[in-house]
Amino acid sequence: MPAELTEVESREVMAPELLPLAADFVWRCGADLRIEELSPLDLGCDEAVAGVMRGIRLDRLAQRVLYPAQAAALTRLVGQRAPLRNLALSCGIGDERVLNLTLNADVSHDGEGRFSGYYGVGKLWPTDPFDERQRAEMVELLDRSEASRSREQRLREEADVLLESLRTLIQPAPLAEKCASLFGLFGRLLRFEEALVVRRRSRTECLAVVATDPALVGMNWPVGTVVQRAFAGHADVIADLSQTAEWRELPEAVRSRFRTALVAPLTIGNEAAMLIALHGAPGHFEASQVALMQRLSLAATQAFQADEQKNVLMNTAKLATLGELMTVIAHEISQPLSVISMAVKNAKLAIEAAQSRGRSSEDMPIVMNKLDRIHDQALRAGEIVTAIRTLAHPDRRTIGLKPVAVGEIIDNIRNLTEGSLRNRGIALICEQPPYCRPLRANPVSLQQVFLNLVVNARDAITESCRERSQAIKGTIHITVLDDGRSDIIYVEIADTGGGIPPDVMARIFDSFFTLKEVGHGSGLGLAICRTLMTDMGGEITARNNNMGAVFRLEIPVYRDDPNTDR
Amino acid sequence: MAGERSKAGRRGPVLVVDDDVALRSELAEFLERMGYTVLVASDGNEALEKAQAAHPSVVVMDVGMPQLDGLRAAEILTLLRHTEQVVLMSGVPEQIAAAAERQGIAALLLTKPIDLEALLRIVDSLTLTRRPAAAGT
Ligand SMILES: Nc1ncnc2c1ncn2[C@@H]1O[C@H](COP(=O)(O)OP(=O)(O)O)[C@@H](O)[C@H]1O
Ligand SMILES: [Mg+2]
Repeated sequence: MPAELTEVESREVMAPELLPLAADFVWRCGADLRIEELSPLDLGCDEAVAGVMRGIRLDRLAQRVLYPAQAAALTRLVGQRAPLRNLALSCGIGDERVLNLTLNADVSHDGEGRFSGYYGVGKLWPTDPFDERQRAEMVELLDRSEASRSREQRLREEADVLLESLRTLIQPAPLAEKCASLFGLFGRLLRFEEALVVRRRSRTECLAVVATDPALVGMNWPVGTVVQRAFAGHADVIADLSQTAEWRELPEAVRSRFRTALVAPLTIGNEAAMLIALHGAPGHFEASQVALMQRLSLAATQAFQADEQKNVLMNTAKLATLGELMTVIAHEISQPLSVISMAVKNAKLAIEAAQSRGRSSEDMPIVMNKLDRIHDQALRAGEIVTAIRTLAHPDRRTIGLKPVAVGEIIDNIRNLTEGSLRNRGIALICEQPPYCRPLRANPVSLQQVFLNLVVNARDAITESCRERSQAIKGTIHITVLDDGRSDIIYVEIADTGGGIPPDVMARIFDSFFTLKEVGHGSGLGLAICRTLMTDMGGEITARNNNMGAVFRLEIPVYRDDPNTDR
Repeated sequence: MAGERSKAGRRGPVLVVDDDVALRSELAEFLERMGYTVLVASDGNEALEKAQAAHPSVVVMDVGMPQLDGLRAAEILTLLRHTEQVVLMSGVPEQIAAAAERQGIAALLLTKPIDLEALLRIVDSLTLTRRPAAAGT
């Protein structure tokens, strides 16, 4: 378009100080800041892009700029009607495309010296402005522009956070811990006060399953527009939460602290869920943060996915058929059996090798070691079989409900576990009222329940000390509560092992759910406890206190004739 | 007899991946005794790292592992050509076969408990070496 070019040239926009870099286009806007003219200087400038820019108002352009600091700089300069110098902008132009450009312009005046707009040059950058070749040129520009510098800083921070979050994701750690690190990392950029993951419980109920503030875990999030939009896959900024329909239904804990939210969809398994970041100041979040929020939700999705995979077997609590149960058994038992056969083979090879060299004594420790391993693995297979037998025993329900003195059970447990507890520096403290009514229970089952709980408590204490690289130290408290009146006696078994991660609380009683290392936990202990307790007409529940986990047993009181029970 | 195999010079490397330390170490020991250079990894992610660095001839890998399971890892290893062949181990091979087919992975499948002789035959044939007749047990 030679006509336009000459016109522009005649306004002397090609003044050398405006050309720190080769320009891609010349442009001009009027007093109303609308870009009236934008003409490509060479073929490198995409005419389609020029089309997008033409007609846009400079102050509206600011709203499309992806980085808030630059948008602010542009608005400020335009507001002051000051010359634009090397202003580097990245703006969204729909279709998720990004336009990177640098603008220079002088202020133009009309005949009477009044502001009549801007005129200048611009350069377009490829979609990725940090292409190595252009990077050097860009850096020069960025150095001069305060606004741009903060943008680069932000990009770098973003890159760091993304890298760090990838590292977090591949670390073997419990889900809650992973989410905590992810939230911590992204919190630096998103600047939220708290963040949580909300997951559907039932059609009408959604719960916070993971949160930066433990007090928010388990909170009920009302099913309203926020949840529905997120579940439908939309990411949003909710400038003012109190304007939403569900505001009234939100728990006081949320309403008193937060007014604004950043929301992104999340997937757990095949299930839609919601990631929500909260802040107390309305309008705190910006639309430009949505993309980063979605990155966080992607990372969290991956964390959940890894967790679900780890617990593929956990759903077996609801095993429908024998066939399904067999699958699990095949899976669980084939592992120790593989190890046994390999260890036998290796021991045999070691002996053969020793014989052919005529020195058998040297290889003895290897062989002994193998024998120990074989023994352990056989026991492990046996434990699984026993546990399954207990779960599947058809007569279990009817046998042996008789009066049981809780004191006797506790004495037995003390005898059984004292050695292994004392060795590890764990104290077992029992408190019971001077007189306690007898329980209606099967003594063997009850003993098994107590034993499982004490062993779990011991493992939790050991593990939590090991994690903090401290010498093992802790207490297991068994407390018997008998009010002398009700039909039920309560027994609480509390430990100082740091408690159960809130996000798995709902699943610990499921068969084969375990957080212990492969080869250590069977995940059947608590499943068995629950089955045995229900069979005896009792109940078992779990919660955390500030030191660790508390398991509470409710056991019926024995009465001479159960039929006269009130 | 095992000595004869190793005299021929180390073959491999073979990468053994299992999250169960007992199984992993026994299997690695066995393959070493059979004259292979063996690398180990305890989950899919570690397997990817090690395979990328060492390009093992064969990867023998458990399916059920935390973080990155064996099927996914096999898919990635094959795509990135970090190894010639993946051999998967599972206690429920029928389910795994179906899943592998869906994902288009041509992995060999071994049933746990592992038959060591069968495993050795497979690894031998994949590394294109002939087992000396004398080494039979
Ligand atoms: N006292 C406790 N403190 C913390 N976590 C516990 C406690 N008891 C049980 N758990 C959790 O519940 C899971 C399931 O326990 P359980 O059914 O006994 O199986 P296992 O002990 O074989 O892992 C454990 O792996 C552990 O994560
Ligand atoms: Mg247990």
